[in-house]
Amino acid sequence: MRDGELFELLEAGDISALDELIGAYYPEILRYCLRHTPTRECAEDAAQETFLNCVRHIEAYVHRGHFRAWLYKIAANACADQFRRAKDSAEPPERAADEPGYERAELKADLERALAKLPAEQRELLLLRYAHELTLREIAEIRREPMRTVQSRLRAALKALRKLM
Amino acid sequence: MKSVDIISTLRSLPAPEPDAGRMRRTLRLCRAEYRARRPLRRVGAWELMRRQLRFTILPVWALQGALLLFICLALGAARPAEELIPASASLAAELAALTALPFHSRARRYGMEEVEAAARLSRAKLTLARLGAAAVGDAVCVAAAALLSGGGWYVTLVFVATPFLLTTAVSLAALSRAGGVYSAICLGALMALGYYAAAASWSFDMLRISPLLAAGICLAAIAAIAVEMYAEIRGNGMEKRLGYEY
Amino acid sequence: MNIEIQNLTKKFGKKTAVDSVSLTLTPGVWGLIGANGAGKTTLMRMLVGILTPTSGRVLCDGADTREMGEAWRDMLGYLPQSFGYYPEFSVADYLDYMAALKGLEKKAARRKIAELCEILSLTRVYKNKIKKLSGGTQRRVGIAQAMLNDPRVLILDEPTSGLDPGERVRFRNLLSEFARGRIVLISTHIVSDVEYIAAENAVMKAGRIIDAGTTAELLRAVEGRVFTARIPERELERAESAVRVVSLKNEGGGETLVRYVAEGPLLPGSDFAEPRLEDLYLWLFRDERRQDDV
Repeated sequence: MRDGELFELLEAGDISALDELIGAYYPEILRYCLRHTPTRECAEDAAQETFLNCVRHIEAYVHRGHFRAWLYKIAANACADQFRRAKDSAEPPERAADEPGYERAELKADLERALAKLPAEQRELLLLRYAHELTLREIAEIRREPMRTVQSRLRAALKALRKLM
Repeated sequence: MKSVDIISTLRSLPAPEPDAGRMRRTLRLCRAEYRARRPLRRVGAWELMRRQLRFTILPVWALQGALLLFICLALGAARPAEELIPASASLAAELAALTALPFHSRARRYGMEEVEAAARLSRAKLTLARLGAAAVGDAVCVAAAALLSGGGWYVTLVFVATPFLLTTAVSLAALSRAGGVYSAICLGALMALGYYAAAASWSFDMLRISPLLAAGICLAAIAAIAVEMYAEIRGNGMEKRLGYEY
Repeated sequence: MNIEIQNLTKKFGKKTAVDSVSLTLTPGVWGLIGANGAGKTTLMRMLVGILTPTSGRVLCDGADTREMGEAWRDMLGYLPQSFGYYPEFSVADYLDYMAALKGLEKKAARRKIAELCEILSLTRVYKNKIKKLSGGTQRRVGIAQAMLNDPRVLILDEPTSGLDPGERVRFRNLLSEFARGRIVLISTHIVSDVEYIAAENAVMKAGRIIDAGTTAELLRAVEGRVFTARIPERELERAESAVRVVSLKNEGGGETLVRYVAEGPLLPGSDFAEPRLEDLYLWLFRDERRQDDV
């Protein structure tokens, strides 16, 4: 079911639409939070906070389209919050997801290393576009930039990554 | 390395499985939050108008109603002196243009602008509702003036539409630039008297004005009114009114 | 719930009224302390969306308030510094009118109005024209309108101006209770208004937040800098020009108790005194006052 339909159901008080909405977006938001918080527990807290904030302010979003972009914006702030709370964490805001027991191909390891060397902004753009598969329009909304700027910065980021690999 | 390969590798980066228990807990908390929240009640345009009726719409309509009565009486009285009908019609139309002025920008004049701007219903919707109501009343008064003048479309254009639109445009511009509602009303009243005097003395000459010129004047006035209305709806100039200087 | 103010700036030409303010507001009462022209009102106007920031943003639970639109304004209650009203309005008319603007359903609005009038002692003047009421009573009407929609975020700009001491105490108690689970931001010169009820305060000077924290944390800046001294009345003028006087108390017998802030004990017979917010205020804004004196 499309987001628009789910929201109409939510507005009408059908709480099961909430289950579907969260079920659909939880994995990708968790994945985003894993890259933007110091630990798995922080990432899960940030993801939970993202959806709670989303529900609290559901009317602020309703009927505006680009739900994903809005959700990612809230997630970014929730992750920043987690970092503030974990004051003793000295790690930078963006780090590769590190799942124990997960086997990586050598290429993926090279990619992760190259990504880590990129400036944060370029890394973020590449991950949002290709790992999270957000559209250019959604990324433009998240970053509050014109689509053309996002496009050119993405091209530059890809070029920079290619050079590092 | 090719971009295509990089992109496909990026797409297949680790996507850790969410912990089912944690996801269930998030869902449970979100459901509780959803039930506990206060939903934003929808306020439709009709409800907005109805709730504004007593405070801002009825007073304008009351004044316009009084004017309508005056129009009927004045034009009825002018019937025997046919040459005065166009002038009377133009006066009626110009007075119609002035009726909404006392209610225009009231929020600004009485220090209510801030508190209204911070309220839930957007000032644009509110202003639009008020302007719409005033426009309806104006339309009724102007239509009455046009009908009672008994002339054809050209008499209506020169002696009703043109003075109405010109007076509206000039008084709104005076209100937003000169600032005082009384100066805008005075200016409008002066225009009304001037047009009345011209219409009374030179009504036949005025009827020789090219329809294109008259229509052009009307369109220019409509454009000027649209600019003022847009600024009013957008709340332009708020910072200056709050005392900030650039 | 939290409100995060991120690098909020407002410039008017070359003048910077609010300079890169960052602050996180959590539920409870927050005092925004500062002298006239510090930027408190401009900051509040940006929070409620009346002024557009030059840069920076305000986030409510992570969502940008400018994008939230009506939903944000529905969460807000705002009382501006200058209280205006249409001259024909009675208290009943005014509150009905504001309830309509806040999108409240008629019956619910009536119930809420009755409740607030009871709490704010407006029941007796409910049918009276606002223009005939005293300044303090008008202020209470303004506070009532701010609370009509049961806001989660209440922003009050100098709410106690015009209130008598008894009204101030009642107002403080009302706010303390109201602030449970809600954010209340009060800007004031009268530091005693917030001293006892504010969980945290932010001090503003020249458009910037120069300090923020609990009252105890803020008072550390004036620890060891607040003194009292008993001096003869004839020495008073000299003392006032030598130190930053917080208060004077006639002790009788030709002596005055002077409370002042200074780097060290400058008056003979000075004792250390327990610092209060008022002392902090005068300490932080001592230069501005000096300019006024000149």
